Amino acid sequence: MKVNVFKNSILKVKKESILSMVFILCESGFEIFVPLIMAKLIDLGIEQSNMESVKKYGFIIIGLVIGQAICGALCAYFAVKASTMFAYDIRQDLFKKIQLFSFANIDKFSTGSLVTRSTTDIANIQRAFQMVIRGAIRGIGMFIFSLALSYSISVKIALIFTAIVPLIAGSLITISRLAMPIFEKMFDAFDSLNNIMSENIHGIRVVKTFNREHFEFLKMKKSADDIYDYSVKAETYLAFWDPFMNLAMYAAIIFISWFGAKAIIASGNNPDLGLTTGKLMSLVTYGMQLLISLMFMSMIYVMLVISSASIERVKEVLLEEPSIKNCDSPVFNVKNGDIEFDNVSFKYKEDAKNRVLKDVNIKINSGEMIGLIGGTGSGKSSFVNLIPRLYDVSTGVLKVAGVNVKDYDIRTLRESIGIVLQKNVLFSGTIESNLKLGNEHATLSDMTDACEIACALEFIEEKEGKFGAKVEQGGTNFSGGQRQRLSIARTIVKKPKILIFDDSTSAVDTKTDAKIRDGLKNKLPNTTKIIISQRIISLKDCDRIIVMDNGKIIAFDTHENLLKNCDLYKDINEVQNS
Amino acid sequence: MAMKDREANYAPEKKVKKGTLLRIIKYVLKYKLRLFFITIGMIGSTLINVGASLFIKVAIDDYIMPMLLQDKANVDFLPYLRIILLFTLFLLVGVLCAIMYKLLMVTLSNGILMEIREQMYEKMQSLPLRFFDTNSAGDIMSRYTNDLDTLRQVLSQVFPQSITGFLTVIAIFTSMLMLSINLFVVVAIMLLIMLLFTQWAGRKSLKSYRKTQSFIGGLNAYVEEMVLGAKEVKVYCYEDRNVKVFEGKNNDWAKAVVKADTLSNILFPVSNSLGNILYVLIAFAGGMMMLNNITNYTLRGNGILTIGTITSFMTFTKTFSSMIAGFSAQMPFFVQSLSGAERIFDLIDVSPEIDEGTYKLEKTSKNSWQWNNGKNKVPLVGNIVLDNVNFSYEEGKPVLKNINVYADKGQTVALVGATGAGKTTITNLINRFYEIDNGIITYDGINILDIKKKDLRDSLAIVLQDVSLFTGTIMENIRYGKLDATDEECIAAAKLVYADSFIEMLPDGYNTVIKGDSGGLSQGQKQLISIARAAVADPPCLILDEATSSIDTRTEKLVQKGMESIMKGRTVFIIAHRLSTIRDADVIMVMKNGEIIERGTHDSLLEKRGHYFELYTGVVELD
Repeated sequence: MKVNVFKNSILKVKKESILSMVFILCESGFEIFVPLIMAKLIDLGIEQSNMESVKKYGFIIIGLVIGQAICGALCAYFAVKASTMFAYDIRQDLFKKIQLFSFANIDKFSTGSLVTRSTTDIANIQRAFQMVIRGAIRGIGMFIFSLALSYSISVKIALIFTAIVPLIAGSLITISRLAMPIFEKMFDAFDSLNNIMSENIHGIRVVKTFNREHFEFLKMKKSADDIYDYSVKAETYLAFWDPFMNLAMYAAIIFISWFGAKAIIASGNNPDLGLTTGKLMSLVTYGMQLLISLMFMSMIYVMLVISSASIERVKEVLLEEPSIKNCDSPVFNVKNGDIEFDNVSFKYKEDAKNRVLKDVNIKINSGEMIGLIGGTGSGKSSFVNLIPRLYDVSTGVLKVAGVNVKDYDIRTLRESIGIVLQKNVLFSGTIESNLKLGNEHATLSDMTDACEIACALEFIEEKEGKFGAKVEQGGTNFSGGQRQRLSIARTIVKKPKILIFDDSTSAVDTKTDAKIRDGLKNKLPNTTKIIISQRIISLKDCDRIIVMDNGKIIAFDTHENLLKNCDLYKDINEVQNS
Repeated sequence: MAMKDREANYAPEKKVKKGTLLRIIKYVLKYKLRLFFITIGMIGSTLINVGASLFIKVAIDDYIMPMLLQDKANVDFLPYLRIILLFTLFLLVGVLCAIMYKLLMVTLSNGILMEIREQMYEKMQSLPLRFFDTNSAGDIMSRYTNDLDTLRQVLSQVFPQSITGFLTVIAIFTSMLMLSINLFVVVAIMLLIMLLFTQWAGRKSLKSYRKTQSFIGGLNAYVEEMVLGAKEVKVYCYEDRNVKVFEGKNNDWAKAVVKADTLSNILFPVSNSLGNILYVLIAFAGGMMMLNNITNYTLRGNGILTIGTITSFMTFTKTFSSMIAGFSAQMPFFVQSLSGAERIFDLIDVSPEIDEGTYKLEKTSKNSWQWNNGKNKVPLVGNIVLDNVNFSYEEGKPVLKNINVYADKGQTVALVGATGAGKTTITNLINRFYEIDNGIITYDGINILDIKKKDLRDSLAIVLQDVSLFTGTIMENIRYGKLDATDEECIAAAKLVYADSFIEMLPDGYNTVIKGDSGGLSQGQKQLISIARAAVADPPCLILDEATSSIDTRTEKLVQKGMESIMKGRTVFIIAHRLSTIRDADVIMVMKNGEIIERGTHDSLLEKRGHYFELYTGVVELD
C-alpha cells in the first residue's frame, strides 16, 4: 500500500488551507447573494417605485460587496500562504530525501531529473494545490449556492438546471478524457524535442564540424511535426468546450424564458403568489453562474490532470527507498585501516549482465600505501567506491578493520574514509567553507596542515583573503590542478583512517605530484592510502600496487616484482617510458 | 563588430519593445483566409452572445408584460413561442460560429507556433559559436520551452480573447448607449477608476513577480549545485548541514512569495468587487431616474427608463465588469509573454555566420579533391598557413597574438601549452568557428574566407575533448561523420581506431542505444566512438583536440596506431595533454598566453631546455 507522501505536508498547512477555504466560501456566498438582493431591489424597490427600498437593498449589496472583497483578499492571503508553505515543506522533504540517497539511487534518477523534480515539478504542485484550496472550492461553493438559491426561487426551473448539470459535466469530462491521452503524447513529443535540442546545443561544434545543420533540422522537424499534430488534435477537442458551454447556457435561457413566462403569468407577477420578473432575472443569473462554476471546475480538473505528472514524479523520489541504509545495531567505531575483499563481485544494476568486479580477493593492511592501475573500464573506481559503501557489493563480503562494512553506522564509516573522487566538485563559497565540508570543526592549523600535505598552501597564500578567498560554483575560478589539490586537502582535513585518491592528481604536475605522495607517506603513516593513477611514475613508490584488468585483480605486488612478473604492468611501463 | 555584442542577452528589467506585438500580428496576418473566417466567426458569436443576454429584457418587456395584461385563462402564448424558436435558431448560428472560429484558431495558432519553432531552430543552426559562448544552454532552451509556451498562450487564449473582448466591449457600449446615455456616464466613470486601479496593481504585481523570480532562481541554483555535487555531499557526510543551509534559503523564498503573491492574487477579487459596486450604482441611478421621471437619453431617442431597460443594462454591466476583472488578472501575464516573444525574436534576429566563400570542394577521382570557384581550380593539397593572425573574443583582450603556423600536406603539427594558452582557439579559427581580427589564414593558398564554409568544414574533421554523442545507436553515431556510410564502412572505421573490440563486447553491439549521459559508457569509450566518427568522415585534414585525454595510456597507444594510418598523407593538428602522445609530431608549437614561444621537433625542443623541457619533465603544471 502506498502511503500518501504529501499527508504530513498537507497537515502542516491545515489551518491556512481551512481558513482559505472558509473565506473563499464566504466570498462566493457574498457573490451569490448579490443577485438575490438585486431581485428584491428590483421587485420591492424599482417595481413598486419605492426609493427607500432601493436604498436599503442597495446598501445591503454594497455591504455584501465589501465583505466579498475582504473575504477574497483574506482567502488570497491564506491560499498563497498555505500553498507556499506546502511547497516549502515538500521541497524540504525532497531535499532531505536526496541527501539520504545512495550513489545507486542518484544514478537511477540522474542528476538532471532530480533538479527538475525539485524545481519545476514542485512549482507545478504548488500551483495545483492553490488551485484546489481556492479555485476548486470556489467553484463548488458557487455551484451549490446557486443551485440551492435557484431551488428556493422556483423548484420547477431549478429542476431544469439539475437536469442540465450532469449533461454538461459529463460532456466536459468526456472532452477532457478524449483530449488527455493526446496531450500526454504531446508532452512526450515535447520531451523528445527538448532532448534533441539540448544535444544539439551542447554538441553544436560537432554539428558544425560535420556540416550536419540540415540533418539536425530534419531531426527536430520530425518532433516539431509530431507536436503540431498532437496539439491540433487535442485542442480540436477542447475547441468544442466553450461553444458547448454556450449552447448549454442558451438552452437554459430558452427554457427559463418559456417556463418562467408561464409561471409569471400564473402568479400575475405577484411575489407572494410565485415567480416574478425580478426573480426571473435572478434565475438567469444563477443559471449562468452555475454553468461558469462548472466550466471552472472542469478547467481545474484538466489542470490537475496535467500537474498530476509532476505529482507522480515528485512522489517517485519521495517513495524511493535509499538503497543503502544502516543495519539495526550498527558499529560506531572504525578501529583501524585494514581492508579486506572476500570474494567480492559487483554490478551496478541487479539485472545487468556484466559484472564490473569479478571475485575480488585482497587484503590491505592498515597504514599501507597501495597503488592501483588498470585500463579504462577495468573496474578501478568501482573497487574503491565499495569501501565507503558508496555502492554495496553484489556478492561476497567487504571488511574494514575486520568488520563487514554493512555492520557499520554509515556516517561513522564514511567519516573514517576519505575519498577524492575522479570528478571532484568544489562548492560556491570560500576555500575555508570547502575545506570545512570535510570537517566542520577543523581549526586553522588543521586546514594549514592538510593544505601543506596537498601542496595547496602555496597558491592559497597567493590568493587575496587566503582561506577566505571566494570559490565560484564548480570551482571554475581555480585551475584543474588547483581544484584537485583543494579536494585532496579537503579530504585530509577529515583525518580519515583510509585515504583514497581516484586519479586525483591527473592535472597536477609531476613534481608536485611526487611532493604530495611524499607528504602522505611521511605525515600520515598510520593512514591506509589507496592511489589510483594512470601513471606508473606516480605509483612506483607505493608499498604494493594492484593491477586490474576487466574487473579482476591480476596482480598485487611491489613495483619491482610487477616489472618482473606482470605482463600487463610491463606493457604499461613500456608505453609510458618509451 | 556587432557580433561581439551579447546580442540576445535577456535583461528582465528591459521594457518590451513596441515592435514585438506587431511582429506577432504579422505572423497571424499570413493566414488571411482563415483570419477572415475567424473574424466573421468571432463577430457572429460575440453579437449573438450579447443578444442572448438582451433576450430576457425583450421577453419581459415585449411579451411577458403584455401577456400579464391579457385574460388569465386565455393567454396567447403563440407569438412568444414563435419568438423563442426564432431566438433558438439565432443562438444555434452563434454556436456554429463559435465552433468554426475555435477550430480555425487551433490550426492557426499551432501553425504559427510550428513555424516560429522551426524558424528558431533552423536559425540556431546557422548561428556563430559566439552565440553559444555568450548564451548558456539553459537560457537558449528556455526560449523554446518557457517563451514559446507563453507565446502559445498569447496566441491561443489572450489573442482571441482580446479580439472577442474588444468586439464585446463595442457591442456592449453600443447597446448601452441605445438603452441609456445617462447610465452609460456612470459606467464610464467607474470604468476609469477600474482601469486606473488595474494599471496600478498590474504594475505592482509584475514588480513583485520579478522579485520572487529572482528568489526562486537562487533557490534553484542551490538545488542544482547540491544535486550535481550530491556525491561530494555523501563522501564528506555533509547531508545534515546541507539540509540546514537549504532550509534557510527555502524559508527566505517562502517569505518573499507569500508577500508578493498575495498582492497579485488580491487583484482579482478587488476588481471583481468594483464591478459589483458598479452594478449597484446602476441600480441606484436607474431607480432614481425612473422614480424621479428624469429624461433618459438614448441613441434611439429620449424617453423614460423602463424596468426592463434597467435590468438589461445591469446585465451588460455584469458582463462588462467581469471582463475587465478578467483582463486585469491577465494583464501581468500578457506583459510577461510579450517579453518572452521578444526573446524569441531576439534569437531569430541574431546575424548568422557569414559565408561569402566562392570556392567549392569537388571530388575529381577516388582520393583527390579540388577547389573550384568556377574560374580557378586548385587541387586540394592540405597546406594550411596562419599568417600573423590576431584574435580576441572580447575587444581589447587579445587571445592570440601574431600567430604564424605553416602546416604542409602530411605534416602533423602539435600544439602544447597550459589551459588558456590558446591552443584550441587556433584550431577553431582554421575551420572558421570564429573570425580572426586581422592577419590571414590560407588553405592551399586560398584565403579561407573565399572558401564556402560547408566545404571548408567538410575538408576538416575535428575530434573534441568534450565528446558530444547523440541519442541513437552507436552505429548511427559513427555514421554521423558520413551520412551515406554503409554499416561495413562504420565498422571498419571503428576497427581502425580500436573501438570495435569494446563495442562488440556490449550486449547489443553496434545497436547499443546511447541515451543522454547514462549510456553506461565510460568517457574513454565515448572518445573512441567520436574518433571513429571522424575516421568514417575521412577528411583531408584532421584536428585532434585532446582526443584521447580520457583513454588509458595502453589503449591510447593502440588508438594512435590506428590513427597513424588515418593521419598518413593528411595534415593533422593535434592538441594533447600527455606530451608522450605528440613526440612524433613534425613540429611542436609551445604556446603561452596566446603566443607561440617555442617551435621545433621534440628532440630539438628538449635540447633547447626551454619551456617545453620544463613541461615535459613536469617542472611546470600543464593544466
